[in-house]
Amino acid sequence: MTWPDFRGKVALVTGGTRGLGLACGLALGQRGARVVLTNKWGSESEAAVHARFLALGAPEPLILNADAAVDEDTHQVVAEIAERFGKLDFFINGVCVASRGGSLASLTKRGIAQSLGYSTWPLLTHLEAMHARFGAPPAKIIALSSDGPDHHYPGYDYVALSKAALESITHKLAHDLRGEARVFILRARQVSTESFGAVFPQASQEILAQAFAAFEISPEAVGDAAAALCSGYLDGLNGTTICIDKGATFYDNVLSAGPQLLESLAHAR
Amino acid sequence: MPASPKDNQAALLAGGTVEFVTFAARLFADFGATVFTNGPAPSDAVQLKAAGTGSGRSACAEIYARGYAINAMIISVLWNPALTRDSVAEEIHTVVEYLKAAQEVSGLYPRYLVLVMPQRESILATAGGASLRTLVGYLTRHLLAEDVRINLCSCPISSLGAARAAEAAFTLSSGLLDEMRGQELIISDT
Repeated sequence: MTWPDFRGKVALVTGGTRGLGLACGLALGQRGARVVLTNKWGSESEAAVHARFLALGAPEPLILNADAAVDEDTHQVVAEIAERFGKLDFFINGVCVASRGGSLASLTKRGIAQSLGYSTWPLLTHLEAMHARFGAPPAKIIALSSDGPDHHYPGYDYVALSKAALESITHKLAHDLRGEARVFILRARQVSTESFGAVFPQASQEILAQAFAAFEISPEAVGDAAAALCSGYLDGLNGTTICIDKGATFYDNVLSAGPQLLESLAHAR
Repeated sequence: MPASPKDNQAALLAGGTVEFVTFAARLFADFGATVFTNGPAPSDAVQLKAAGTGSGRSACAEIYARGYAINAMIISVLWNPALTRDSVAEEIHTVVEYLKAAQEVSGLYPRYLVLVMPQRESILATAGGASLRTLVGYLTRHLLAEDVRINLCSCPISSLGAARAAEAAFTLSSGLLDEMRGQELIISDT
């Protein structure tokens, strides 16, 4: 069994059938956890997800169809977990649904409500449901985020708004749930996932691939980080933001990264 | 390291309190690493090899001469309660010295460098901590192309703080957080 050993633990990962959510689910499952993944109806092939777990020798995941923005679905998910497993140890809030922004004209009330509705509020709704069902939160709570709240990225308006609100709530939870749970924010950036491809324009992706490929992060690296946070070996932390970015946040500015970009563009010509 | 301990892989624990070194040494040893110390060493049953109490260069040279590569280097910095303006600079430079020494004697940087500093409120400790934090960022940038991850843990001066800092340093060296670089983990003992 790969360290850390999560046999006997139960984890819920929302939005867990693809992208970073799936990577987290696989990292926990690979270490023996029973993993419950939520999936919006028909959005992913359940057979393909089962095959990924099987290939790693992980226990078969339980995939539940649920719309993270619908409270009844959330309560049903938690009820199902209670019935099947009787407990929940880890909760990874991975679901994120938002449109592309990009200009003042493209920002709408509906778009903002949708991004918050899918990417922020479900953290609270799930914890409310867990409290109602189990009387306590899971021991480890991880909100998947990005550095969008304090960096500008083209087209990222809606996601950034929802992640900023999510991180704010997470900090508050870390304070309010002291002694009951460890709460973390896991930030990742430049990870090749379907969502990344959907949000960022092709031109941006090409620049990243050409000039900043060294900063690319694999989904597995994010999954491993989630496993580290659930291991208990980081229980000295609470409310902490972990950035999986190869340190890029520190030196990602025009003067530091600019020459690299110019050099790469010169090569491309 | 925990997933697949490799032969002749060493962890070097430099400086720090006996309590921290004891916790950290046990963790690394339990997962198969050969643990070297340069500075305080626990007197219990943990199998440790002393790399000496000399400079970072002599410690790295000694480890390399014994046929080991340094996989994880855990350096405790700014623990001296009687910091002076000169000693702050000296302690911060210790980090640079160890990194250069590892590379010079073996041709390799350690895969993991974790700095551990105390949470103190004195003006010199605070200033030193700020410098160290920034140094971690700059070193990460300078060594972007190298196979090295540099992070910082600041921990409370308590038994639980030492234990948790040891666990955090170990986890940072475990392979699970390989893409986390240039960051500070603020350890709590509550």
